[in-house]
Amino acid sequence: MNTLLKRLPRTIRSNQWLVYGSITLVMLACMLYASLNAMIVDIHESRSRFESESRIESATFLPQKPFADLSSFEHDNGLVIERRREVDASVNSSLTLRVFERTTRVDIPAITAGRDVQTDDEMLLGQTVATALKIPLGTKMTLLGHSFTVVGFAAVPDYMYPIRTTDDAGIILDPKAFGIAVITPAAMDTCAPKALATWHIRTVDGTTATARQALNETVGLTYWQDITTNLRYTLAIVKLEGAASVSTSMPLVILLLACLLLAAAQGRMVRMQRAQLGTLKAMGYSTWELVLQELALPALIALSGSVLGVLSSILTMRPMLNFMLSYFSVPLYVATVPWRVAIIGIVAPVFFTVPAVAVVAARLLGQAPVKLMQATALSTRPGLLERSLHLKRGSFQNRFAVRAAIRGLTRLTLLMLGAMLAGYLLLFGGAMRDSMSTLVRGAFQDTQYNYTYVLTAPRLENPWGGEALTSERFTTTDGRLTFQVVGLPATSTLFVPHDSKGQAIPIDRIIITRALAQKLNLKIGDSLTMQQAATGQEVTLPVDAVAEMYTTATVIMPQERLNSIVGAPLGSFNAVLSATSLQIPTQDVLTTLSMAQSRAAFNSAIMPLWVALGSVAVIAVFIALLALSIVTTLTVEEERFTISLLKVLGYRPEELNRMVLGSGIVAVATGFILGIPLLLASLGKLLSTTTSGISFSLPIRLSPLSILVCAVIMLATYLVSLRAARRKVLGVQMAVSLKAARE
Amino acid sequence: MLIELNKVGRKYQMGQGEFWALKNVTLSIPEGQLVTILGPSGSGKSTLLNIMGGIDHADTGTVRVTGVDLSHASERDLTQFRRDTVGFVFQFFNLIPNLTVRENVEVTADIAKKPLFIDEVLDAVGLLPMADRFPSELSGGEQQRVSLARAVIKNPSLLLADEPTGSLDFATSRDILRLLVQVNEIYHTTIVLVTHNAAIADMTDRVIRLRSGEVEEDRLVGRLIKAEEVTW
Ligand SMILES: Nc1ncnc2c1ncn2[C@@H]1O[C@H](COP(=O)(O)OP(=O)(O)OP(=O)(O)O)[C@@H](O)[C@H]1O
Ligand SMILES: [Mg+2]
Repeated sequence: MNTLLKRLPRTIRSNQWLVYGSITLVMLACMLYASLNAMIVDIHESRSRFESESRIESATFLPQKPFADLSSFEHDNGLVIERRREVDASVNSSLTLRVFERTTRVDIPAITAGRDVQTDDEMLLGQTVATALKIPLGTKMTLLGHSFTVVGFAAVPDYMYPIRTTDDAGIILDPKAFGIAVITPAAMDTCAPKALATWHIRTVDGTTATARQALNETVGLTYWQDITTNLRYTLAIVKLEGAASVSTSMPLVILLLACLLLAAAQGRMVRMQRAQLGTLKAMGYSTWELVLQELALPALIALSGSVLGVLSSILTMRPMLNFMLSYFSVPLYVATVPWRVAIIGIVAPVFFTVPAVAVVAARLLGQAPVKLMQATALSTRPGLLERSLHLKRGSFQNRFAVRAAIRGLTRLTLLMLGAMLAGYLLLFGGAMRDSMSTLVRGAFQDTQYNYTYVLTAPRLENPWGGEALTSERFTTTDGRLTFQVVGLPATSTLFVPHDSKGQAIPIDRIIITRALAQKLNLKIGDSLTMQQAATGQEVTLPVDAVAEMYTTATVIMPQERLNSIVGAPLGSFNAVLSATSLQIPTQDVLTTLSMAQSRAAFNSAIMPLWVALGSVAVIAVFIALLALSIVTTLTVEEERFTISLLKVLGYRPEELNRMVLGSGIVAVATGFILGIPLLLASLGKLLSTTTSGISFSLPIRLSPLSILVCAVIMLATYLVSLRAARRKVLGVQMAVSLKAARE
Repeated sequence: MLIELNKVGRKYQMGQGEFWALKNVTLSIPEGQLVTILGPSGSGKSTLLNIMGGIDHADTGTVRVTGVDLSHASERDLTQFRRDTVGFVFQFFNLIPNLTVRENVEVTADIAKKPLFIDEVLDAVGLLPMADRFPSELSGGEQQRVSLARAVIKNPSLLLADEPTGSLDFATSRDILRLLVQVNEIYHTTIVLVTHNAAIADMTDRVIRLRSGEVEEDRLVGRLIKAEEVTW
């Protein structure tokens, strides 16, 4: 038994490309699987620990009158309530910080680096800004006219997704322009005595109905928002868990395909040794002893690949999570690969590969030894299909190529599968690129204005210039999606929606943007029922047109129609659009948004997607390369005897290459082409999960140019793997044909 | 009797019809005998030998070797039988290409009940100086000697050799034959030898001649010549 094992290192040495290629393939697949799954678990655990340790609020409210006795109210109702003051401070022209006072009972800041504030001239800086602007600890900052030293970085649970405002314009996170800061209550007293105070409540079980009622009875409520409807919380959840749902299925499929490829390759290695195995069987080795021997190599490959993969995922976990979490204000409490994930990652390849190879080996070795040995040199006898085709016509070379193709039908299927997998991944990158550029190009073409001013109250006269409009927040009846409804004057020139043919849509009808249409599954002729966010009043409207805008979920309608729906006076407006900056008194303006800010915010929001796409593309090329070269290497190995024989007979290298490897290109092309519909079918579903809950949706585009680029990359990959295989074809020793017969 | 064949037949499916490679072969071979099987190409020599060695099966009749009924043995029993009882020498040597000479012999020693000493056997076949070479580094005659050593190492009661000299020149062939006779004499191994060469038959105890799958002649020869005297 031991002596036979000595073959193992020698087999590895003489099949280096195949073995190390397979190990790398398994490693990549395992790493992807372990990393993504661990990431989901770690992010989830970090978030729930953050929520409980920082005592996340259950709701925010504003009381009508002060509490008579807060602590006994808290005690009687089993609640924790804390007041928190906040004020916006602009650090410089491009950065605004929302400054909070340090709380101790609800929404407690979690320190992610450095230490907590101790004196009144110290501050904590939001983790997202610090990362985005690379601000080090110890930096001095001037806020509200006072100087503070950054002594720590922090995350605040109700600002998990730290956006400036929760209306449509501010929904995109730009960590370079907006962030949070925390100072002591005493510092707040001196810097901003008039700062806005909000109240934050934490209930025992997170439900708020009874607390809300109790508060309403005791102090009255002017404002109430559950954390579960707060976009600064829900967007973080949707994005973090949405990414998770995408990242579970894809790596598993890749891992399975990698295992399939490995099993097939190893199964073929076993078959190539049939004569040897027949001899050993004739010598008295039992089927099972030999099957076990044959499992050593696949087990070794699967195991070392998976161990390396899981190890590298453990090593890269922290930087990867740091990158992910730099877009969310969540402390990284957990950055490990959980046991369950690590064990599955290590065991799965062995579990999928070894039994498959065992079945191949057992079936092969079930044959009588004579049968196995008969097939020494001229390995495979003509199969059924091959014989039934009666290949008589055509040149010998063509017939050989066709024969090789038929004989290797399963191998070609394998090659096709590999090409499909690689093509799918590549095209995925291409489609994402196309979709993104469509999105970016379309994002700002309908909007001719550069500034949006949202006013504190509706007005009837416009002394400032610009274009006056009405804007109101609505939600779907189930409350899952909040969007803006805009009433435009019929004469609007600053905001001109276009349909899919590029025609301007006149503003005399109900228009919804493509983003809203996709999210609510609406088309022209459907009706849309929605609720005004402030009053809960319901209204149903027909959908008359769809504007090709992907960046924002919005309803556009004539201004007076909206005014009458929301009960605003005829001719009133509450927002102003303008191409130039306007001189509106600050007390009248609720928010100002410049297009430049929007653009910057938009670009920074899609940045992580670009990075993710880049890495997918790199891994895709790797997997493609490995899959293709494993299959081509196998082809050469299997045809080794025939190749050397033909060489002896005087065939030239090019002729041999064409004969042995010629059929592969068809399989690669077929696989690639099949990948296109597969991709388009799955992409829609994938993208709708990633963008659910956020106001923009991704258009699905796959341009001929991208297909061409992917095809070229694919072809190049295939040619590279062919080159390696070609060298092997040429390297086949002619003596093989003579010796193979004897050994 | 070590080997008892009774009305053994072996058929192959040939397209629609069937083809009998062996028909009604009845013979027995006592322990220690050195037997030659002769016959033209395609007469069923290899088939007969393979059936005796339990690596192929008979379709009709019974096969008994060292008391084991091969025609009714299970896969397990057949493996055990091959492991304990039979040594094979093939025309195409069938060595394991990525094991050295010594390791190729060890492979059988590993599973043998009472193997002989490897160095002794290697020395006997004159391979001791090349023990660490790989098969591809040996000549045909040397490879066949490895194959012989591999068969002999487990000290089998039955040694089956299918044209062991088929791919060798005559000088090398004589060497191999001499070794076979030695094995027979020293260990009393029963040896069945398949060959085309009638001259080889003269150095053995008995000749069985096949034609078209039937025994055409079966006679005792009584070792008329020595291995060194065999000519081609
Ligand atoms: N797997 C098979 N399928 C069909 N026919 C077979 C098969 N194996 C052998 N035969 C046929 O059985 C007959 C006997 O074959 P066998 O190998 O025993 O001949 P042999 O006497 O050893 O010939 P040689 O001296 O050429 O080795 C031959 O006619 C051969 O064509
Ligand atoms: Mg034969």
